Amino acid sequence: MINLTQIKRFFIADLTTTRDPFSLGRWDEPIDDAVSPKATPVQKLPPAFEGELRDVPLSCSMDTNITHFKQQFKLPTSQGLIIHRVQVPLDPPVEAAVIYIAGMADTTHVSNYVLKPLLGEGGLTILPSTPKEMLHGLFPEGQSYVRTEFYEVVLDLMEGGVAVLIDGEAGVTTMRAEGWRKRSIGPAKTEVTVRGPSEAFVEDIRTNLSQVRRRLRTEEFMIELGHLGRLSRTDIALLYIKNITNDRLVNEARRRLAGVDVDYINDAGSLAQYIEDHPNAIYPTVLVTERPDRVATHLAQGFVAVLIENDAHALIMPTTITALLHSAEDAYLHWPAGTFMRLTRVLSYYVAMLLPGAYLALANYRQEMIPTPLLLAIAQTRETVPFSTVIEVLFMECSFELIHEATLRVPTVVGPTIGIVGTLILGQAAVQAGIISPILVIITAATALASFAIPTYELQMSVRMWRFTYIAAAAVMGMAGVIMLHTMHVANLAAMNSFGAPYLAPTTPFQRKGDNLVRAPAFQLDKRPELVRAKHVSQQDEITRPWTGEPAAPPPSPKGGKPKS
Amino acid sequence: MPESTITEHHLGVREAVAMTVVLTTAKIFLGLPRSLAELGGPAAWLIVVVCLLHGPVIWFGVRGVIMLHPGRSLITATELILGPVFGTMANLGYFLYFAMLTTTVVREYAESMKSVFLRETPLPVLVAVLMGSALYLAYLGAEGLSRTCWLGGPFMLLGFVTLLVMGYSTHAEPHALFPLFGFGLGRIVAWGTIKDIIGDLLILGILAPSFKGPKTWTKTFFVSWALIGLVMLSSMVVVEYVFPFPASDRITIPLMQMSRVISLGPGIQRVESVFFLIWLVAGMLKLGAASIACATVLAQILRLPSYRHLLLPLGIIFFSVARIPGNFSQIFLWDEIFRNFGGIVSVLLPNMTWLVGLIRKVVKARAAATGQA
Repeated sequence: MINLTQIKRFFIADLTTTRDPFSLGRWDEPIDDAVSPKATPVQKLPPAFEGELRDVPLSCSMDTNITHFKQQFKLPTSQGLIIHRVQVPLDPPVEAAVIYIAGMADTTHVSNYVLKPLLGEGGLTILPSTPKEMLHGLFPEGQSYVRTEFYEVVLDLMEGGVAVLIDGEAGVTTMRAEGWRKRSIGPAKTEVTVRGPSEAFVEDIRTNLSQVRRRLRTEEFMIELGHLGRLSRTDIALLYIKNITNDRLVNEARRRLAGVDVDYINDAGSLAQYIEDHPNAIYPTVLVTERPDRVATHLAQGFVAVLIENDAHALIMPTTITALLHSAEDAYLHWPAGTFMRLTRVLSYYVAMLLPGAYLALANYRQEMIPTPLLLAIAQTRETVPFSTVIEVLFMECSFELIHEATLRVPTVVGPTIGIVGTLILGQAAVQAGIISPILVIITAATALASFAIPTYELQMSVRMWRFTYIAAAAVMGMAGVIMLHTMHVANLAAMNSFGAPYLAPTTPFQRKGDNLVRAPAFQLDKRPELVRAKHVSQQDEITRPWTGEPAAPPPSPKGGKPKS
Repeated sequence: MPESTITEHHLGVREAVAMTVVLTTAKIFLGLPRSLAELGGPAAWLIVVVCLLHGPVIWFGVRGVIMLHPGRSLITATELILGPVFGTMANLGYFLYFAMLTTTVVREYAESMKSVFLRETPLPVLVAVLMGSALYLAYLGAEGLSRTCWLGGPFMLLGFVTLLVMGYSTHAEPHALFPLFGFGLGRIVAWGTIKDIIGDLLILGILAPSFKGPKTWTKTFFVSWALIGLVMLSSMVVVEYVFPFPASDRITIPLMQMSRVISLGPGIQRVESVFFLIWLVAGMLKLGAASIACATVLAQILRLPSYRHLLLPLGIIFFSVARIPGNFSQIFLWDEIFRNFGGIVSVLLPNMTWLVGLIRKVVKARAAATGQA
């Protein structure tokens, strides 16, 4: 069925629509104006419960409360809720109940730190004299809360808590007792570095938060917790530094997170699609990282980050194409090495995207650009190949994509075998069979290597998709097609924004001393990136090497030199 | 969900300068040097010097109009000054100026591509592809386009300077610029006054509300003007040196020909392909900027909040009109006519509007004073 509303917009101007209006301010205006809190009222992250359950208070009668819990958790149809009724040996004895969800709470923890103290066993705790005292002082250790609302208890139980109900009291004591298995912190898998820290996030949000907090030991470090997903009730955390991050950026992040109204969400990639500026774009507009050090560095510069339970990746906003080409390691090396690596990555980005298309354009349309000896060599190798260059290039690129996908999906032990088989098929066998020319093997291999040198997986994917578009453009219009497509491609990126920041910053709009493709020495990076419009622009004193006596000293000379007084 | 915070995006000085320079100077990659050589002979570069004096005059007029109604663009301010009937007529003049610019440039580029680079591709396909890509660039907006110009600017400048230096190094006729006044000083001044080669600066008037303030706007205007002068003058001088008159008069696209003749040893030759890169990028960006200007003028005349909906119909019109000239020489003739009479719109119209605005202001003030008395 044709959707007439969709078609109508191509013929009749819809003057009511506007583009996404969020911006972090005029690029040229003073930063003080840009961070003023004239913005929208502060929104809160979505709560875990909304609707009728929020209005249900806890009763003084324990039996009523237990009945309510049973109804809520659909007992006995649905299993999982464990209810232990106990008699607490006070004078007179008090009826109590311990409730938790099987598999979510640690039974040993429940037994040692909840049941035994309640029963006065093991001499672990001296029992309080009254139920009231019991309610408030039962668990002096660990994280315990006194809840008065029914939904709060349900939420605690869902998060692996244990609840203690006391007959005659309208409150419930809950205690954290998560008992599910967690993966231990391991090294980064997709953002591997030689120098610097190598640990990565895990699927547990609290462990991840601790990893970031360890690196930002300031009381200004803000962690706003919330939940997403009506069914999944997934924990999310919005991270920023209170006295640095632009309030408007934080508000915008909150606004977008609060707008995510879905049943189920369980990973950073899905969440990114709900909140990023251009969800249909081939390029990512949110930086996804698995490295806590990278998150901490960005937070210190005025960015915001989002962590989500069950995913070992964080989202960093805003992001730029430059940031996607950066690696955490750039900062851990001397600036010439960092710069060299970055430039290599930029080169690899262009090679991975343009090389097959450019080869096709040159071979088909602009042979005069190829030196004559090389041109003759190419012609000679292509003599026996029965297909046109376009078919050759497409065959090789498709084969490469097949191998790449297959290597990712098969078990790790089989992966190298597939790589070897693929290499043999693509290289030796295909050339010997006369299906492709040897020069194309070199082109494809160089393209593949270049694409793996791109540090961000999402950017790698974008480049792989664009590569085919360039091949199509080169096949149709030669070099003119490649140039025209590239101009439109760049213009498209130039028009994109990520959370109000230009996507091509700090190249355009230009920031003179930005951390761009050329990495400035660490001691000269006095200012935070302009694109985030941070509250405090300066991130270090101008004199960061005081023994030299010079502000922002130039890079050390190769000969060394005496310290200046 | 509450509304977001800011609704405006503004053009930065660097980006706006880059866009204006690309829009104005891309014509040197086409037949302009030949046309000037025909008019001025060895003194063609002096015609450029005289033409550049249009810059401050355009600025004077446009600034005057805008300052009479601060915060308005050249188009809306013109309508406020001249009234709905005459104002709309004047604004249609601006629209036709940029429409003509887009149409001639798209056809010239298509013809050049067909004759030099893509000989077997049908002309309508090339016109359609160029127009389509220009419309896409225009759709992305002035902000995105200007940033693209800023990004591409250094590469284009590098390629341009390389082309001039290598061209000059390959062949230069020492006496090419003599006699200094060519066919006579009077002729130079006359053609310099008539010929409109920097009228594209009007785009700054159309986009005036997108700038941070009048000072930024003025700065953008004059920096653009200076760079345009530098690029045009240097290219004209080098063209005259490499292809001394009358050779420069007989080469359709002199800069392209210059790229072909460059030969500085086995390593540096066939610079034509490098030229092709900057030539095509400059052309696309110019077409994109001209399309934005066109659609913005029309949107402001029709009081539409967005120009984007006009792009597709305008593109079809431009495509159709660009197909009218029968051949390469006819489109050059169109361009000549456009350049000879374009000054009426780019130089005279804003200044006349400003003058009318001043007169009306004085009359209104006197009427108010009389009424009070």
